[in-house]
Amino acid sequence: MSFTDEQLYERILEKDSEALETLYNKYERLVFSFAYRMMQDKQRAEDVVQDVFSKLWRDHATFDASRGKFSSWLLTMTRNRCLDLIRKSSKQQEVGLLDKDAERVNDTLHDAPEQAVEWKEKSERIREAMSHLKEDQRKIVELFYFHGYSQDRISKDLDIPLGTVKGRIRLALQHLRKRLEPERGEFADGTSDM
Amino acid sequence: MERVICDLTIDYFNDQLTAEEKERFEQHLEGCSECQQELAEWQMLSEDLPYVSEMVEPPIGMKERVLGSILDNSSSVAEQETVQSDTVVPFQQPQSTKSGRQTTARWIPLIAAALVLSLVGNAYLGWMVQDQQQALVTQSETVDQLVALVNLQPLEGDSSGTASIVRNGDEIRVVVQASSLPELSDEEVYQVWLIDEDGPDRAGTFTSTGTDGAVVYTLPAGQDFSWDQIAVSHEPTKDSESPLGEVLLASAISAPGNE
Ligand SMILES: [Zn+2]
Repeated sequence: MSFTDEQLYERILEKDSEALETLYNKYERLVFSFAYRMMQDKQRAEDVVQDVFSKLWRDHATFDASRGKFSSWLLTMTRNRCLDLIRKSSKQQEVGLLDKDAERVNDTLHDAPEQAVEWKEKSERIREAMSHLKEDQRKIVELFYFHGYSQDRISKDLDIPLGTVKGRIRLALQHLRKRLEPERGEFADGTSDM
Repeated sequence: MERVICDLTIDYFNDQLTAEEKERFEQHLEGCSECQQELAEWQMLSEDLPYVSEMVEPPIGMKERVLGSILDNSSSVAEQETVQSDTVVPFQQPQSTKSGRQTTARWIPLIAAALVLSLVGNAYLGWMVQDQQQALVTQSETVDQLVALVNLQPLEGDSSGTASIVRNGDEIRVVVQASSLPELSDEEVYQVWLIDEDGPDRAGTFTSTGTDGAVVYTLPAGQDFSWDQIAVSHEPTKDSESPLGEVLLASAISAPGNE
């Protein structure tokens, strides 16, 4: 009855629109929320969702199951699309460290798909881990990952030498990873695709 | 000089390079394992970050708009693809240009997905082990080069399938994936044949889970690909030296180019 993401993907290649809808239902909120986090604008986030799923359907995209989870690939595709749009728009985003106010779904979880519960748990852990980073580390992660800034721009924004930008990013991400490490095992058994 | 290019991995990861820089970097990337690993590292280190996002309720009607627009536009595209898919799709050496790269990459998942989904034997395990070793390599590197993709035409029943010819170094593999196969009983198997003027050569047997099956056949190292047809038959046992049962699928193939 329930298919793996890879099976659904395979069926999408065969133009099975039901498979597309199933995957859409599963990942709609995640892709949208992530896109919103990056674009800080609901309309533009919806455009990204549209682009990502169109790409999945129309261009067959390029998922390779041997190189990682479907969800990671989908999120990478989402991020790349966001960066593309950000880069193209003349108006650069303002640097904000926190989410803009959004309608939080936490209280309406009862009508969210079951994946939402898993995601919420995972999200809480990562945010918790983030909260342990020093302010400047959080900021560099933000600029690097969510804003996709160039090394040059990060160097200017944070007023650190260009040559140390890469090292700082790596260090911040490694700290984060370390915080998450003890809990990662729970996701390693393949029961969670999120 | 090299060092300067290697410093661009983050800007490449963040899509911050100009078109020329990007092209130059991608050329460099093919030969620089350090950059490949570094890119994979950025990917790995940032994998959890999307989940930092606060869960946001999608706008009302988004699903209808998105799926509606996708499915409305797709019927004509689907027809075109059916027409085109009857022919062999030849593959060139991966180009450093953007379009060449995308065209190549586009077909690769067909193989991966087919393999993952289908019942498979040792050949598949071997393939996966090998592929796992490449797991650190970024997606932009072409490890296996798809030389040709053939749509297998049904001769009996309504089976369908594809055969891919993949070059990896000096090894050539033939990957066959089929679906809607008739059920097997007892010792029956499906057998893949590579056919040239001298007749058919055996290229692996497979069975199925449900009605889908796949097999990977690796040519002995250094052997040229000289066959011009490929066929799948339904055999009474796995020992058939030549096709005894009915031929389910067949197609002409063009030999991989000698690039
Ligand atoms: Zn390099």
